[in-house]
Amino acid sequence: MKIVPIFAQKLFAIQYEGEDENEYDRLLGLWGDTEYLVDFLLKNKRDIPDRRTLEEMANFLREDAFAIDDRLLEILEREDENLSFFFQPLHNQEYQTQVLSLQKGRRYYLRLYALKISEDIFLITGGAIKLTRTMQERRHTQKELDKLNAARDYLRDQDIFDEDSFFEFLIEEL
Amino acid sequence: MTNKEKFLKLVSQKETKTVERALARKKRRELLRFSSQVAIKILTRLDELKWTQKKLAKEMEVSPQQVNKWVKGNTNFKLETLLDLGSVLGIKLIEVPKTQPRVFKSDTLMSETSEYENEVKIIRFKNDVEVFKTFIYQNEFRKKVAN
Repeated sequence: MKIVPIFAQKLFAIQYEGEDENEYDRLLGLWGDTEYLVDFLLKNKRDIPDRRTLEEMANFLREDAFAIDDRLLEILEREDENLSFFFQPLHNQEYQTQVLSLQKGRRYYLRLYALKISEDIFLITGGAIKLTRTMQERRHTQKELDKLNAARDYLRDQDIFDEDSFFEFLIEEL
Repeated sequence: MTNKEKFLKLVSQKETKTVERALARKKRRELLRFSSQVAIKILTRLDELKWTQKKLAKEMEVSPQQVNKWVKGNTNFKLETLLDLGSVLGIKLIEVPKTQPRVFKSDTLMSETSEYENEVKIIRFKNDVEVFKTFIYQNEFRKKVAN
């Protein structure tokens, strides 16, 4: 597992063992691959909302991926914005921000999952097309939940609990 | 110097190409959008026909690799390819909108459309709205004349 800075030294992503790309690049690559999107929808037909056709859903997902790119570029370019405007706690009942809080960034059916290091520093652990209400309902979203928890455990094991200890760890890893 | 500052100094040259890639996608957005729309049509039609990409390659007399490139949604299609693909699959993949006279009558209203619709909807008022207004006016006019 490698942690790489991807956007303006504020947004970081994990590059997992055996992967050529960090999670953001990998996911945006997947969501920009029409064959992957249609194949995913064909395999998950039962989760497509009744009022939508598969063709509509594939078009929506592509547009949602464009919107995620745009939103993050916008946040990182503007000084009056920060990443907390995009990411929010994974568990809606989390009122007090916890150390290494589990977060989600969403755009309709697409999700980026991340750990919150500080107010404007996040670490992306993965992402998914989420068509069901809970992450536990489908194997591919459960896997993302497991990745989030594993990343948090890993950072805790490295004594990372805030921004300073996060950067101290990254310096040691260089 | 904080650890963050130290890190930023050390890592400044090491940032990944993520931003560059996102900007490149943004620059090519219209082409990617069109190409992906075509790819979705091809893939859903293949599913309907129960054809494999290999079968389409055979029908189109191209390599399976070429077909796979088309369905990724990242291709700058030639018009001829789109017309041939449409003919083989029995669907329309490209269409030039017909030119329509831009007449905005008083009984039409342009309304905002939902996020995923490209076109502007033109909603026609019901005819009786106009007729009703005219009727009132005529009555008032007649009343004045009568007075």
